[in-house]
Amino acid sequence: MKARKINKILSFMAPLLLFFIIWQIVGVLDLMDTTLLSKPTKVFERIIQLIQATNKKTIIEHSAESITRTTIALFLATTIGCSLGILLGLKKNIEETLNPIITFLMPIPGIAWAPLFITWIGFGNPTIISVGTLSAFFPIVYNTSLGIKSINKQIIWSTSIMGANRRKIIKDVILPGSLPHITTGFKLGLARSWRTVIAVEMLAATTGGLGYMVFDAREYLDVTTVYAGIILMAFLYLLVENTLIKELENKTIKRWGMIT
Amino acid sequence: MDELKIEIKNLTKSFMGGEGEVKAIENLNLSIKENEFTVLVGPSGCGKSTLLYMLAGFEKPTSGSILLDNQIIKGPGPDRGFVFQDFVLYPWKTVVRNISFGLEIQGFSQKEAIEKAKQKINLLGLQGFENAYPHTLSGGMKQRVGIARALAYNPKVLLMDEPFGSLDAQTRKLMQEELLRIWNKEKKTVVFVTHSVIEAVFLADRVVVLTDRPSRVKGIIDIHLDRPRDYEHTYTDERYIELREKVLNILKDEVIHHKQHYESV
Ligand SMILES: Nc1ncnc2c1ncn2[C@@H]1O[C@H](COP(=O)(O)OP(=O)(O)O)[C@@H](O)[C@H]1O
Ligand SMILES: [Mg+2]
Repeated sequence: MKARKINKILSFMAPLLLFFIIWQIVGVLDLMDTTLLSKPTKVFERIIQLIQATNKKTIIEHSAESITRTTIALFLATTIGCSLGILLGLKKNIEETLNPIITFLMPIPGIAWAPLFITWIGFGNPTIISVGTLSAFFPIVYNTSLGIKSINKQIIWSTSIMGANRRKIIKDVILPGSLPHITTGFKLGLARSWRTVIAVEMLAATTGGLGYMVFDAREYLDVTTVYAGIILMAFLYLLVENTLIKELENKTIKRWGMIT
Repeated sequence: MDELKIEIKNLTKSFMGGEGEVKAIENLNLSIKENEFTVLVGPSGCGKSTLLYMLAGFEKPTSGSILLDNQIIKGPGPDRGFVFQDFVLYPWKTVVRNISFGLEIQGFSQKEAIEKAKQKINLLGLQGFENAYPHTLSGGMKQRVGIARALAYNPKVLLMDEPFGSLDAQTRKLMQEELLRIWNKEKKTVVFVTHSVIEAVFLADRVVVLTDRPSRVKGIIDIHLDRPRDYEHTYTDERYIELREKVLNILKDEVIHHKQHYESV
């Protein structure tokens, strides 16, 4: 069990390592302009520097700001999106009314809402979080209602014949039965809000955040810091997905055999 | 034993489909006595599940009526239990919680419900699997849970829709014997659907042969075989073999009719 896990991590890391090595070689041999390309060793050095920075915000503080915004956005999107998704999944007429609107709005990239929100509520957290919420909302509402609609009719019958009322059936059968779809929506929502929050930070953040940090570094042609930020964006997302989310799945739908 | 339990009168059920109206059942009449083991056989797609769903109250008749204890069936209710071919257990509940859930719905506290569920665990031979999740069980074990769940809240009528249809032959025979043992212990009115004549005659007090769609009662064969029955003895019983032939003969025309109409090459 443990050995398999280590094996899996290794086979994930190997190609990444190869990529970094090639990048390093290109940088060392000066095959391309290093002010544009930088080098992995320089980037990692920079990350350490940025962690220890005393004269400005550390990269940890920037990360914390992005993570906090994403968490709030995801929490709001999950609360609103799940509630509405449940309603849409249960009430056909409401779904028929709202579905065209949702279908129309869903493909719009989150970042495209930023100019509107900046105009409405200005720069700063309210705009970043609102746009992050909006972009996570659509996959969550869509997948929740899909999950509820695709519940097996027979499992509802099994419960109704025992004398369960509608409320009990919704709470104890329809909701747990939709968990695989709800989880999918939540994971898509996490990915979407993380991307959107960082993107909007470049336009609307006034204090910090990984997006802000990267965009700010660009003004000083500090490519190395840009790479440091980018690597952290990927790293933090993968960390959350592979620990928190995985753990949550392992304890629920995976344990119940509802996903493989 | 002679008390009338279920009375089906002029029952018709049609569905609106893409190609217009499909009549699944037309003018079906059938009476079932209390604690009787009735097995319905008929060609596939003739409306057996549909009939069982109406007995359960999942579906409503298009016309005609079904009386249960002289009351028209208005919807599903805990005086009946249902067992599906595909088990349809709750994947997120352990075996014992699957079984106790019906009792919790009836208003028992979780503790009492689990206590009572233990009796059914013993009855179905599920000891040791109380805390397993359904996906870890074999088909036969899953259906034991399905039956225990349907029996847990003590319904008077047990409706079973090809419950052993997705089990391998060996497990299937074992489960048939188990079912008879349980039925002998907990007297219930059983309505059991199958398309296996071997299974039907082995289990039934009465085998009801349905016609091809739209379904009506083609014939009723009383199975006066001794009980308790088991495969070792009943299988070689001449009367059992005769009765099987008899049911097969009645069914044959319907299966041929079905083939000509729906599988014409
Ligand atoms: N919900 C439904 N809508 C339309 N047609 C249905 C529906 N349920 C069953 N039918 C049709 O009614 C007929 C009887 O189905 P069913 O009762 O499942 O047959 P059986 O269980 O005997 O194989 C079939 O032709 C089936 O296609
Ligand atoms: Mg069927």
